[in-house]
Amino acid sequence: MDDLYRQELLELYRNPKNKGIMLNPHIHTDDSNPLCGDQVEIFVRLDKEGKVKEAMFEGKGCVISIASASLLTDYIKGKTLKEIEYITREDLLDLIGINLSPSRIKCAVLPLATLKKGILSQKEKESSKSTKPKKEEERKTTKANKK
Amino acid sequence: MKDYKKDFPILKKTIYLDNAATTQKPSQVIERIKKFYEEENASTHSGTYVLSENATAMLDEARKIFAELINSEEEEIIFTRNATDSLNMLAEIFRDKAEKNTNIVTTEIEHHSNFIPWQQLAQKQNAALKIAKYDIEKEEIKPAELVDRNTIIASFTVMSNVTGLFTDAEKIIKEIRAKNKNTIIILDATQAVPHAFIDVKKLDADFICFSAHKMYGPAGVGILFGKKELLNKINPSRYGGSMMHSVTKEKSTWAESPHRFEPGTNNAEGIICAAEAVKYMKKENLKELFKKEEELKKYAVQEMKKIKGLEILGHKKSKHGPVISFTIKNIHPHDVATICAQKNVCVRAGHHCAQPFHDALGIGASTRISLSFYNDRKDIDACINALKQAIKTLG
Repeated sequence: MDDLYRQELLELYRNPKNKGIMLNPHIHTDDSNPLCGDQVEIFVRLDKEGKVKEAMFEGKGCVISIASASLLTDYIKGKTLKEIEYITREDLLDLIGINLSPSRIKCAVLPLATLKKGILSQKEKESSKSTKPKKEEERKTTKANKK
Repeated sequence: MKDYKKDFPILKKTIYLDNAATTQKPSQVIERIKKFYEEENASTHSGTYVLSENATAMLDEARKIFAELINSEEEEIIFTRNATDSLNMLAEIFRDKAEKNTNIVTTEIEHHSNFIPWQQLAQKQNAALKIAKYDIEKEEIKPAELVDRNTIIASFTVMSNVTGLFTDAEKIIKEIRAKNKNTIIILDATQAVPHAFIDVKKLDADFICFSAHKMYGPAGVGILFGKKELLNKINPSRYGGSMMHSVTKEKSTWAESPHRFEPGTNNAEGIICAAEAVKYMKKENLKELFKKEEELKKYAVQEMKKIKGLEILGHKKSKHGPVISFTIKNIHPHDVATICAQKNVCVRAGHHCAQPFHDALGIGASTRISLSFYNDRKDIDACINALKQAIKTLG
């Protein structure tokens, strides 16, 4: 854990990349770490091919969570949402490049977990849009059968 | 002055300043549990053989030790799993008293364990939850102001696990009684009992709870005091062996208190070791231990105040115990705690299970040091150096 506060991470903490609010994003989600009150908000805009064109974050947190959000929002640029879903905790920790204790892993993972939550709720919204008419049809069919 | 660290094997390796979370255990307690398992283990209250009868006698003695510690009667001591368990059990027991047009009073400085059970009870029963505010300037809470003729329960802490504030429980209880003599008054004394004398007769609360693991005993043992005139009138909320007088297919009747509130096999080894920890504290003289903690707290506050950008929560006006939480400008509490950990100093970061209190203070989290008599000035100096290092690295 000695290199936890190495210069590259401190630099990202002091001058984070991609920090700020995005207007009209395709994905917008937030979450917090109940243990320490860290908060993160993630914004994603996609291009026509469905790849991440721009990603930003806003929030308050410790060195690890801010650095993690900085690195993650850079890393996902050009990736599809499907590809993002496959990003693992280990991938993120490799990106940060240091060994973390279990309590600090939670800080590092918060931005990724938040992003995935946002993608999931986006998918749910889309699928509810596409399944709604079907359900109504099903109901009609059931009614008809009963009759 | 005695070097208490010698009595605590784990302290050879580490500087431990997270005593409000849990305390370390002296050799006397560690050896006691070994002896119990090697020579004395048996189920209590059930066997007629020597081992069981001896274990029952030791359990009774442990009850007596806790009764003496807080000046109660033996039958007023109920053993639970911890203070959280005690408070949840009280919320279960008094569930039916909570209904529409009644209210429960608590405060915003409570540990979640003395907040969520009341919040949930009020919501489920359509009762109102009234939350007394913390006065940052005066460093006080006034829950009695919220009590009215419909208040069924008032529950508050004797000492904050965040700022260490002593709430002047005796005065508050008098004020509550003056407004409503039927309100059940519950005290969370989890942080207070390890650092101050608690006299239940003087306080006049109906229930008082605390945990053994925060006072040098093992985890899994809670102590719940209840006034005896109340205990035999109320029905238990949990059922099983040992707690009943008789059971037929049609109905059950309950054993006398405290047994009616202790279903199942007792955690005899835990309770006996918890009492051993009290014996250790008494042998070392409680007054001396509390005095040393007060001196250490004053030293810590004095040294922390010298650090630029460090702000202590509380500790300016009112009486506080040896628990000190603080923020450092522009540095996240988790980073402060991690740098302390790198210097082998164990401190706590987060909201310390008191989110409403942190919200009231307008901060998301804080760093906390909490002292025991086994700490010394060198521990505090090591912590101060680590805090300076945190500012150097991250400030």
